[in-house]
Amino acid sequence: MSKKMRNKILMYTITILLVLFFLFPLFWMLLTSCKSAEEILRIPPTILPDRFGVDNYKEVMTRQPIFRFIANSLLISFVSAAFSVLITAMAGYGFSKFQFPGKEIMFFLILSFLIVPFQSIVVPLYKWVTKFGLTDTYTGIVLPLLVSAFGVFLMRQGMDTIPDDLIEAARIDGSGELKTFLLIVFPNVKAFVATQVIIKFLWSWNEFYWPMVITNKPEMKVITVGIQAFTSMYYTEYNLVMAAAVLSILPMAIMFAVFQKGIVKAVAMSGVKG
Amino acid sequence: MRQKKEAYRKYSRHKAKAGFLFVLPAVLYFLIVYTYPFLETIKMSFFKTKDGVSSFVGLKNYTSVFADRLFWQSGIQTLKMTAIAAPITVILAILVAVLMDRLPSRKMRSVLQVSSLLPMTVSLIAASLIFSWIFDPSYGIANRAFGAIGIAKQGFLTSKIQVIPTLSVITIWIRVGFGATILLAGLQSIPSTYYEAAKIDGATPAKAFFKITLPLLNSQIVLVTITEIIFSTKTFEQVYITTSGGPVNCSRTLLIHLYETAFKFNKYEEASVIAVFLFVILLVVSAVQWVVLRNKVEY
Amino acid sequence: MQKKRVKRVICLLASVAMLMSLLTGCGEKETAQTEGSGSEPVAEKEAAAEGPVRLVYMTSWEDKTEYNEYVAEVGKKFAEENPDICSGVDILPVSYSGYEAKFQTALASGTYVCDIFQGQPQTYHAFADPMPEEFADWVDENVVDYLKAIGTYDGVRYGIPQEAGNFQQLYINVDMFEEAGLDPNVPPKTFAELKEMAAKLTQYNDDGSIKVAGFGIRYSGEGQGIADKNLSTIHSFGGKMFDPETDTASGLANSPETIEGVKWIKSLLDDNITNTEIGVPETAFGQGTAAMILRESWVVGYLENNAPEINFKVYPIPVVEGQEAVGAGNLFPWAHMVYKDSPNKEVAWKFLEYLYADAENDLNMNIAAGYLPVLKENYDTEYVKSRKDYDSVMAVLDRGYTPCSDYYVEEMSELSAIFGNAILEVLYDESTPEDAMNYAAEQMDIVLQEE
Repeated sequence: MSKKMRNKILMYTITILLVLFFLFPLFWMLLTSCKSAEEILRIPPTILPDRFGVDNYKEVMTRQPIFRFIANSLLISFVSAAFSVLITAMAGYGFSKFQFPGKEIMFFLILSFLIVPFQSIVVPLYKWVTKFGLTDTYTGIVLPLLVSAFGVFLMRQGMDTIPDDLIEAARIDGSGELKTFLLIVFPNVKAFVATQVIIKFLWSWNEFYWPMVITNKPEMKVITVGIQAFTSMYYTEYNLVMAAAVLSILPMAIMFAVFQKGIVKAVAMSGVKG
Repeated sequence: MRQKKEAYRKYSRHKAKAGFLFVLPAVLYFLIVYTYPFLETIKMSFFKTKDGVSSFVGLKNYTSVFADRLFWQSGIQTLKMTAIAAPITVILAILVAVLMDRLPSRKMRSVLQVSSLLPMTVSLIAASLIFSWIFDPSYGIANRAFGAIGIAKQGFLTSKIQVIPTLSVITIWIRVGFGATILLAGLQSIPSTYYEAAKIDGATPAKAFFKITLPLLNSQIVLVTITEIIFSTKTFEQVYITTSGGPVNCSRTLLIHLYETAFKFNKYEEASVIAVFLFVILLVVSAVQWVVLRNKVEY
Repeated sequence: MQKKRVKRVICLLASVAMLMSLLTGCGEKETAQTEGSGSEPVAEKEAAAEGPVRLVYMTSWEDKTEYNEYVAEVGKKFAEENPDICSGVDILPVSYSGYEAKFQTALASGTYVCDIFQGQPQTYHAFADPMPEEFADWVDENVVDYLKAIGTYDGVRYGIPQEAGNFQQLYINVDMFEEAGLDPNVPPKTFAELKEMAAKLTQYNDDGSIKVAGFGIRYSGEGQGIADKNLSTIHSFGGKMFDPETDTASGLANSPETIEGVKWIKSLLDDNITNTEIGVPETAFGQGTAAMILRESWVVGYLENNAPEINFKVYPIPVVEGQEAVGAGNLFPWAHMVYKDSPNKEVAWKFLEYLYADAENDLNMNIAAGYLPVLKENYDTEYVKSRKDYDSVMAVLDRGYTPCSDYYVEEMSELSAIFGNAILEVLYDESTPEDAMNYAAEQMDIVLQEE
């Protein structure tokens, strides 16, 4: 067998193992969501459910407005991703291609907020957010999620990859700063933008702590908080939790399926340079 | 000549102003949303509130917190978890990114990309619940699989020794996709001319990887490493949902300790000390990494 | 090509801007709908609160939907009978995981969040309004004896206990008893007997590991829980956690009696009667991997729903010869309290009085939750009398010794965490009983004696 063949087989094997690693827990979650409460407590554990029942789903949907939660999460994530991309791109550009006093200090300041554990700022933050009457509002929920410190980092690196001459050329052509940014710079970091969008979206989707604290009304909850309804003081109803979790992934999965080509293309597009 | 200098200075100032304006929205945002509350937190760490009255107590809270052996136990366990989760996540992320870049079949590439990102859609809490179910000693599929191939029943989350590695698996599972996506963007921006030149020079793919890819990817790798270290150090949900720090506080992390101090024992001030401590440590670690490990690369 | 890109970017920005304004609009509409939850500073709210108010009831019992719905129903009736002061009760459920953070943040912020909330007075008394005297006296007279201490802090009553029956009782598996040649109608009366019978009930696998534990212990979870579940055992041996009067734990948490109690639990592990692997007690019992457990009364309903094939009986917790029989009590009881920064305090208290004035309500709420009612008169009802643990409950309630009520001090969470952690260290062989309890007593003293 040629070396090339061997390498190919090796690559494929490793890929398959990785895919299994990523997908198996999700698959297990799906199977568990179809089993009844009594069934999941059997020893030894069953693999396939007795029947692919949707009872758990029915129960989950009756007990809590799951779809409302999902909608809330989607909204928050969209807004957060859109906002973040714009502002971090601008900031990344500024940090990467310009010089001004205090630049590195400011950059470091932003970086340092990746470190702060949210639990330690939640009380003061809550106090002043509520003073503005933002409890139970989408604005209130999305406020700490609008800009990603990590995104600033990422975009700075993305901007680093743009050759300075490209920008100078635009300037010489008489293009204003903002125009240069929107027309020349932004499109050239598409890969990083796409990455930022995906990551910020997923990250906001994952948010639990702040939405829990800032929302009181059941309709305003996001999905991560909503799933908690099935865990209780004494025990967790795993079959229901899994059903809720499957429902929560559905929008993501659908989006991936639909935008998949676009995502892969966007990331690949900034590809070959020079 | 002077006119040229004047023009240049004006141009520089104009550029500086523009740059400043570009970063302003982000800086303002962080000042308002994060700096102010965090300054409050730091201030709180030097005060003590009794019956509604706050008084300055200097370093008393710090001595209380540092005298608690549970605090140090939490610290060491956080360190252990980070030492396991961060490196493995980074290595796997590199692996996945390279595969996503190099796999000949486009279908395989997108399958890998999507499946690596799906864990992140599940949310840390749901993921912790899934894994605690999979690793349940009596009802979990892990032990059943082990039993089928003849390995004894494992304690996983109930074992003092296995609990931290098991929890790390959850972190790794969720985070690899993230790192891989970042690294992929970096990989895609390496001009293929470099590889062609290397090939002409007769370098093997492995050599090309180590001499070209890794160095050029350096910034991103450092970024991902720093991020993973920060993330692992702040481990909270995975532990909170599954073991509450058990068994016997063997999976207690600094954030669990902080949460309990703040919200179960109502000792906000001491919790602020823990926050400040974490902040300082992570700041130093990240700064060191950033300065030492990063080499600026010319494009 | 460039023009297209400009268009696209502008579209993106425009849609983001539109979205943002839409959201802000949406958000405000949401807050305007319900008068209850908003976040205006209290003073303004008071001026606006003329006419009927909507009470907000914040609870961490998110999963107990029937219980919450019932409260809302009673709220409706209350509104109908008092239309000029109240227009109804809204339930604000908070998930149990992380509820402490939410409660603390919300209640400590000084902004209006709820009128009534359920919590433990020792933890939340700083945010609670003291109960009007008349109602407080009524509560003292009408709740089951051991519940009198619950809802109070430092001699002041802040709330009315929400549920009863959260004390440990002995559950035995009837079939396993019979298989082992034991009479299921003759339960172990002393802890010594309990251990003997457990030894007979334990079943082993071929490799010597435990298949069914004679007695399942609580070995996982945080320190506070461990302390809570094991205290009745320790109390039975004559041990104690601490004395709030003298602010000391030394001599109590590490007394010979406490240590003996801890040693008893450890001996079950040492003698291979049970292990730290069979799982949480009620799950193990329901699965048939534990023959006896100590657990609260909600397990009766749990078993009937999730493990109907288990044939069980309930008995009072055993005693130790020469020591007092331990009665009811636990560390973290729930009570309905009124938020001190609520502008609707009087209405809130009126509603609570209304809720409990009709004993039916207390009964129905607790039927929905699967707990025992708090009012004395409800113990003569069909529901209570037909419960599988009725005889046991009445026997335990008869016992006078209820040391848990002494522990309701502010630092109780922290103290019980230290105490429970010490027990864990013993169970997991990290420390000897003496060392562990001595260290715990030391640490508890520091906490108790802090300024």
